[in-house]
Parts: sequence; C-alpha cells; structure tokens
Amino acid sequence: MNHFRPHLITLRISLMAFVFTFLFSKVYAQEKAIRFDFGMIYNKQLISLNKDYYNSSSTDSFKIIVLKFYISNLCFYNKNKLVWCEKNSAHLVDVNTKGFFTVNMPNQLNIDKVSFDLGIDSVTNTSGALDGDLDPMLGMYWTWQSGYINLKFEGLYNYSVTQQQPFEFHIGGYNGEDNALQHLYFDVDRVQNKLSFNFNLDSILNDLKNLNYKHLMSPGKNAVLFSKMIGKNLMLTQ
Amino acid sequence: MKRFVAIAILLVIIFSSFKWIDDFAALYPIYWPKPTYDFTKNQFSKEKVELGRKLFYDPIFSKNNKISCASCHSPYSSFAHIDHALSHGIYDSIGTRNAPVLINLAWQKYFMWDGSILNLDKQALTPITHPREMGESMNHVISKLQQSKNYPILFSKIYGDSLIKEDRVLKCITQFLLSLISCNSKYDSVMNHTTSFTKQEQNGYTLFKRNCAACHKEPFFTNNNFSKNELTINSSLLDFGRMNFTGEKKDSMLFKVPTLRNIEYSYPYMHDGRFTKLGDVLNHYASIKASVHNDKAFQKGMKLSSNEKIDIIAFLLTLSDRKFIFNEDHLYPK
Repeated sequence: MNHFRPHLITLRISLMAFVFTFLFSKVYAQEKAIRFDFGMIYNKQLISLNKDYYNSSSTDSFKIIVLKFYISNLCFYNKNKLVWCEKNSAHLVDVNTKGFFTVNMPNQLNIDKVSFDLGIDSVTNTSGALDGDLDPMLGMYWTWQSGYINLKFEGLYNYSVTQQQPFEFHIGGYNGEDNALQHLYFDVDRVQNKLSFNFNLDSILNDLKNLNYKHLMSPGKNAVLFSKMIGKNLMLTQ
Repeated sequence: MKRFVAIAILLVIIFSSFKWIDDFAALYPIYWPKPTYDFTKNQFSKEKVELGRKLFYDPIFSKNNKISCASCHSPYSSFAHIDHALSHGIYDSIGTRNAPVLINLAWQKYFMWDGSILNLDKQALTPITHPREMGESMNHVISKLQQSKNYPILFSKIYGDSLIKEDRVLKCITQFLLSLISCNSKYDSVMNHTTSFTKQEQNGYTLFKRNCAACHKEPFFTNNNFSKNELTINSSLLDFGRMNFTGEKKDSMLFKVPTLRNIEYSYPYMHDGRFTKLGDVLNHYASIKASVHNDKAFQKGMKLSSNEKIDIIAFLLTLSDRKFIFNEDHLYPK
C-alpha cells in the first residue's frame, strides 16, 4: 500500500493540472482580441506625422508633429443595450510611436455599437491612479487641480505663402463647466479583429483657420469647444 | 549640584536649538558638502516645509487663480516642465524659457537660467509677478492669503500670530524647495557601494568624466556656474542669457549649468527646450569644433562615436531618482 501512495499523489496532481488546463483553455477561447487603430486622414489619404502635406487646390500646407490622446471607458452595445465594458479602461495613444491598443473582450457578444471617452473622466482624474498609461511621467498630466491632458495636437500650418505658423493645443479639464471630456459613439457593422478610427484633418484644419488663437494650454471654455470640434471629427473608417 | 543641573539645562537648550540643522542634514548624504543656503536667516522646520508645500501647489498666487508653481514645476518631472520647449503661464501665455528642475537648491548660489536671482528666498517673486507666468502682484497675493479661511490659521501656528507677510510667505516656499533633495539614484547607490554600474554604464561614466564633468561636477552634476555651450541664438526669442541681465557683452549666451540629476525625467533640454532627446544633446556637443574662440570647456571640441554617446546616455540614466519623483512628501498635499 505504501508503494502506491506516491503514485496516487502524482496521479491526483496530474488530473488536477489537466482539469485546470482544460478549463483555462475554455475560458481563454471565450475571449477575442480587438485592435483599436488611430490615425489621420487628409484628402482621403492616411497621413503621417512630421511630413509636409499640401493642398493642391490652395496654398495650404501643414505638418502634424504631435497627436497624443487618451481613450477610456470603452464599451460595446447591442440594440442600444450595454453588453460589455472594459475594466480600468484608459489607453494613451501616441500616433508617433504606437497609434493603437488591443482589448480582450468576450468572444460571443453581438455588437452593433462601440463607445469610448476621448480623454480621462473626473473620477479617474481624482482617483490617484498613476500607473500604466496614466503614469504622470508620460507628459500628459498637468496638476492635481487641472488633471490629465486629454489630447495634445501640435503642428505647423500656413494658409498663405508666408512662413508656417505653429499651433499647439493641449486640451484637458475635468471640473464642472471646464470638463473637456467627449463621449463618442460609433455604429459598427460587424466586429472584426480591428477597428480603425481616423481624425478628419480636412475638417479640423479648416476649423483651425477660423480660430483666432493657435495655442491652448489650460482648461476653460475654449478647451471645451476645441474638444467638441475634434471629437466630432473622429470617424470610424473600419 | 545646582551648577551641574544648570549646565545640563544649558547644554540641552543649545543642542535643541540646533535640531533644525539635524533635521536638514538628515535629508542628504553625509559625504555631500555643507549647503550654501544660509539657514540662520530661515531655520529649517517641517512645519514651514508643509506650509510651503501647500503654497507651492496653490493657484492663489496667480492673477486668475488658475496657475500654481506646480503648473510649470511638476513633481513627476523632477519639478521641471516636460513636453514643452517653452513654459506657459497665465492665459496660456508662452514664456521665453523652459522651467528647470528644482532639486538640491540648498547648494546653489545662482537661480534662473541667467543667474539673475542670488537669493532663493526672493526667487518666487519673479514668476509670481511676471506677466507671462502668474501675472500677479505680491500685495494682492498677501491680501488673498489673509482673506482665506485657512492660511491665517496655518501661519499663526508657525509664527504665533495670523499676520501674513511677504517675507513669511516666501520663506515658507523656500523651505519646501530646500526639502527637494534628490540623492537616491543608482549612481548614488554605486557611490555608496551598495550596487555597481553595468559595463556600459561604467564606460559611460568614464567618458562623462572625461568630456562633461568640467561643467557637470559631481555630486550635484553642475558646477553651479555659467557656460557658453556653443548654442546658436534662437532668432525668435533673442535670448542672450546672462547678458540680458548684466548688459555685458562678455556674458552673451552664458547660461547657468543645469544639474543632470533626473535628466531622464526632465526633457526637453537647454534653456529653450530645443532638444527633445538626450541623443540630440550629445549630437550637439559632438558637433562642436575645436576653436580658441569657444568657451574654455569646448576649446578642444568634443569627439564622440555613436557607441560612446549611447554609453554616456546609459550613465546619465543612472542619475534617475524614482524615489524622489514619487516621494509623498513632495506631492500635492491632501
């Protein structure tokens, strides 16, 4: 009997390992990775940072140097009912280095809409969570009072034959009337492995033309207006 | 016996009056030199540090009550202003320089990039009153503080009365600034013999001592003096550095040598933030050609191969003090 005991113990351990692996594989197979890609479109073409672009029908030219922003509170819907939300949802997208992030979601969900925030909400701003993409050393944090910078958009432009002028928009604010967070919703035909979103630069640069200021560095009414403008120009291009 | 008791009491009084020296000395390594700051005129106390911290993070100092010291001096970037070439202030005004780190100030004798401030107790007056920074007057700041709910009580606890004066406000801010001591980097651990450099870092250290240490002297990685590091003039800013302050032609393009501690956290670099990466900085120095007309430190030029630049950067990263960055005593007071 004593000879059999070690073998029984080994058998039990092996059986437990098998059951655990089986269950784990089942759970894992129930998740699906979806990549969220972000970029910019101008004149129906994808454009890159730090390159000069020209408008053939005018003398406009521009160069985008920085496009960094937070995407947070990602959720999926089916027939206007919420079906799933990502936990601890906060992603810093820097189009210059890594213009995407990946989310693991349940595999079997039927989805016809996705939503997310462009920026960081007031709860997260005051939660003291300062790690991962919310690390304040990533250059997207102002102060305790002003919180995170939702979006940075910097570049050069000219709308005439004179020298290119810089623009620099750092958009944030989470308090009351200064709340510059944008809740965005997008209809989805079918969920594949990738969802591509692009900022419509034709419209954004045209709106910039009409602004009498070319830089914003703090929360306030102008930051809220700018965030609405840029939020409405983010499109799901699939 | 009575004489003995009297002497003992006297000794206790004498030693306890020097407690503030012990409180500050406890913050830095024993092998560092004595501080330059004159503590006899502003004795170090934890209570003043805490009040100074509260003031540092309070936007009450700005005209629109939205800009605090921390707006340009973020604790998460070693109290520098990262991701901006030039710092910005009230109403999004863009300044003319990049806000430097605030560390180890007790050992410095010049403040601001042009060294125009010689007394740390007066330094805060410049950003408070500058139209592109906080845009306020000190009289109005004092008035706002006096009318606030909490500050008269806080000042009373320290000074025995609720009178808020300019001198008291500035010295409390100084106390907080003095407490910002960074001395727990990997480099410091190596100097303490508790760890060692990698081969690459060691090679970088050797190259650093040969090429950079004339200006960036250990242990503070600045000689607390000025240098012309052969930067071209920024044609839109026309910032001639120390000459803007002294008016003397010989001071043209002289800027204060900044510390390299926490350099990893405090990009971009130089007085106008023109270099976003350390590689760009080293490329600049490596491009300086030998000339008798150069600053003394650069008369022989500086030749660095690509690998040598990488090794120097590897060493510079050992000056990063993450413990300092996330020190709860430095962050926003809750």
